[in-house]
Amino acid sequence: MNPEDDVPLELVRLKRLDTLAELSDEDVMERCATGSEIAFRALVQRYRGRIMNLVSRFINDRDRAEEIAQEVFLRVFRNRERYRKSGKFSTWIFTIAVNLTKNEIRSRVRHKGTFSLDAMDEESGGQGLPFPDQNPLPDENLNAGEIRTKVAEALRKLPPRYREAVVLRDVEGLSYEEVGQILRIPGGTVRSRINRARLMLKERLKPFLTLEDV
Amino acid sequence: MNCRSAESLLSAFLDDELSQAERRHFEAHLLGCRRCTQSLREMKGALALVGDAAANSAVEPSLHFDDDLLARIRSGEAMRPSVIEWLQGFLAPERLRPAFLVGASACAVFVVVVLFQGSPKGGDETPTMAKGPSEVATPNVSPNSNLALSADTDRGAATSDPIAASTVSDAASVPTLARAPRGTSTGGTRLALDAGGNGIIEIADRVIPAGAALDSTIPNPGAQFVDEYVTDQFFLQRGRVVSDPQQPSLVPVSGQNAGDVYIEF
Repeated sequence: MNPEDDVPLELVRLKRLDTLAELSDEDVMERCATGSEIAFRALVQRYRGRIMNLVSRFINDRDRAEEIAQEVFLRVFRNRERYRKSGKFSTWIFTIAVNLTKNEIRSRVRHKGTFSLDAMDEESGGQGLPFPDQNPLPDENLNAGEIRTKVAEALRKLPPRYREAVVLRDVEGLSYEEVGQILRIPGGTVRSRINRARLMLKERLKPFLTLEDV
Repeated sequence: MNCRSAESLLSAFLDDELSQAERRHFEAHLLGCRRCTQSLREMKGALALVGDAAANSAVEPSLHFDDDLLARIRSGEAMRPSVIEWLQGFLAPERLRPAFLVGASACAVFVVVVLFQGSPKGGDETPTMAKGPSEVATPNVSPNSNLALSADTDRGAATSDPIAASTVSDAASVPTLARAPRGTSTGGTRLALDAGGNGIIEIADRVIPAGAALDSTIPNPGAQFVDEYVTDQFFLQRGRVVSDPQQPSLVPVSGQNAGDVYIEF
């Protein structure tokens, strides 16, 4: 008799998830490729927050961002047998997420009736918004939460090609090499895009820097 | 190094992504340039704000995220690949390797040659022409899934095969096979394809292992070839014409080595 027979199913799952916790993403994905639902759940748990965050940096619509995040995992599941362990799982899943997000922005641009900052930005050829920032001048006494909102705004106003590079690097903490693989651009381009994005951020966030920072 | 050049290296300097030479020049410039030093500090400060925002303003997925996702998977609603996804898979880098392209080109040339050879030469001997590309099965098959195909040309439709069915692990993934023309009398041609077993393909009692060399010789050049099946493994089978106009079309090539031509890659 299987010793797990008397244990509630959910507890068995939790126990198995626990054992998977020690494995690398690539090892868990390998199990997922063989059809293990537990392994798939473990990957979802590890990455759902990061994927949701990444998509949300580009799609300013929480519900739609969640739909896209789900689609990312569906694609992981659907293409699980194509995954090659030689590549990093994080690079693979972020590539899927970035591509789906780009598709979403493109479809918004094509859809005449939809208005969004992203779409406007995309239409302007990635040169930033076609009108000046109408936000009030920054207040140096903003609290931490308000500053975070300003940071999110500053990120959102970056041209897409710079935003995707800096989000992957500075929000997701990926290496230059991984950013290049995900965006399919050479190393020199990664370096210049990240630098350009940071220079823009620096100018926009300068009013919120403390004396210690400068 | 001037300020413009130094500005282009600010990020890489902070991330330690500069070469030794670049770093040396950059640091030398910083020593004599207050503006660039200030710029470097500001960028560092801006990055600290971004890092803080990233750590403290995470957008959490909803509580039912996992359940919704698994429900969509179990329902099968979202498991069908889109046309774009299928095309992406088909044009995946591994399929663009020189070996594949050479094989695909050879296959295309081969099909064109077959079409010309199979064109009517007059009278009742006109065979049923090879099916066009639109009727060639191009199933989306995952490399590790077991797959079984069965084509019964008598019935002109893909059917399940009790022998092959033993290798089927996912009924939903079984693709349809190109249909043979109705009215052909061949005694039945069966294909069983095990993609998970390194591409072993069986035709009747013949087994052609994956990796078989390209064989483009046609031992009987006088024969007219009229039909072909191209599976997802790019396996190409040819049949020969029967001269009897009352029983036109395809003769199974099973077990008749002399008339067979196989291309596999």
